[in-house]
Amino acid sequence: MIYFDNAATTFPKPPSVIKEMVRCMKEYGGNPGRSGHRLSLAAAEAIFDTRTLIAEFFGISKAENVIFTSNCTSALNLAIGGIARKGDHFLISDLEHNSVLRTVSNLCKEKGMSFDVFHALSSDDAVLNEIDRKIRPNTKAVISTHASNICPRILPIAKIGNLCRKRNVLFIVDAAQSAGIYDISIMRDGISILCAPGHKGLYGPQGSGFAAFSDHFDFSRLKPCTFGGNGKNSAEIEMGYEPPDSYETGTLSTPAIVGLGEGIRFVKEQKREKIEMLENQLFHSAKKMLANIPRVKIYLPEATKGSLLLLGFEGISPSKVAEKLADHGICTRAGLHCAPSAHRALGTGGDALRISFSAMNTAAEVETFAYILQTILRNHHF
Amino acid sequence: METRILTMTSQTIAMKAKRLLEKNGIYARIVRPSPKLTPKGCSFGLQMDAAILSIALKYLEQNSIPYGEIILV
Repeated sequence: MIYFDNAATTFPKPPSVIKEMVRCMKEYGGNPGRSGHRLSLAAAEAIFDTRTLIAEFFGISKAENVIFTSNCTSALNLAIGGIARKGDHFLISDLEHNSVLRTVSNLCKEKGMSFDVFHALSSDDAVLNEIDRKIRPNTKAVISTHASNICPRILPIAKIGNLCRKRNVLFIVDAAQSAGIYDISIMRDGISILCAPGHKGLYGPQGSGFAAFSDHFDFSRLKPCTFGGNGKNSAEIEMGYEPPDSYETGTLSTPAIVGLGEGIRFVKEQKREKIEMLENQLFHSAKKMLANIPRVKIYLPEATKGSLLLLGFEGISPSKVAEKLADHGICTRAGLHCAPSAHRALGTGGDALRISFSAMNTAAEVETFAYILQTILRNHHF
Repeated sequence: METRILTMTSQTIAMKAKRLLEKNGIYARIVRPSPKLTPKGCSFGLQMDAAILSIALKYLEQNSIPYGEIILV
């Protein structure tokens, strides 16, 4: 099998991730933050270790500013929904995943807010100029993907963060496709809230994710979005505004969180820079091979850096090609990739095939993929 | 040994405080004081030797780690 669907979730996971998750369930599976006994405290200690790891990895000093969620979408819902107030304006890119687009659209429809869109496929300078021009006095936040989930476009987040700092607006980054691959430092890059999944470039399990807040973030601006027990101040009806507990309701998934911790250790051991370099090499070699295959269209062929490619096929449905590839044991993803606005911006017509790499892939797999794709396109009548 | 419980605003903060104190050679353990002792209900605390409480408080204050009441146990 060749697994090129790493933008959906990385696979396989490092053995250390699986080992620690199993150890957690066997040896310290108490409910963290609820009781004072050994198993509960051991689970809480392990969760605190992962919080500390995430804080260090993404350049903040306060471990408590890392709030665990079940995925990147729920982190974005907390970040956006938590800061949104009636009359607010948001600025988002046209490459956003539905995790941002639907969240912002629904807030605007139901709660009297508004949003504008900037064009992320233009040059970095043009992106910055457009954001600067579209920020209004009531703009609460600029929300941007760091790396698109469908094409090799990486946004200049440090420059956008710097602009947001100057214009005094919050900057929320969706790092679903970049965390663990590209260099991100919340404090250096002027990020207010970084939202990330645990199960993609950080090699943790599905069901893990987090929102990490700048050391300077004022939590009185963040309303809790879920309500219930969190093991503290139980006699009070209000959740409070204290990170992380006020925003982490119900039992956390300790196995998922310790798995995420091991995933981050894996990235640190492999060296993030090396993973970035490997994925970029695979991207370039795939691009070169695919450019020579008749009927293949590469979206954004001018991109010089990436860890994924989006493909179309002359006269053939990409979904059908994905199906044929699956028959050969090759895992890719076709369709809209939950990013209809990005598909419109790229002019795909609503269906394209994505191949995405991870630290586990090899150049030989790229070569085999290109060969099989060529064979499918040559021999099959769709 | 006479001990004190220092109530903390959350378990995460208790954990952070415990690690800081450990780094500075002070042993404290995380406990769950009775809700009857804490006005807002369930909470967490750090239990330590009463003799080292003042130096522990100094470290917490120096590192801006918030704490609540001091409970005599």
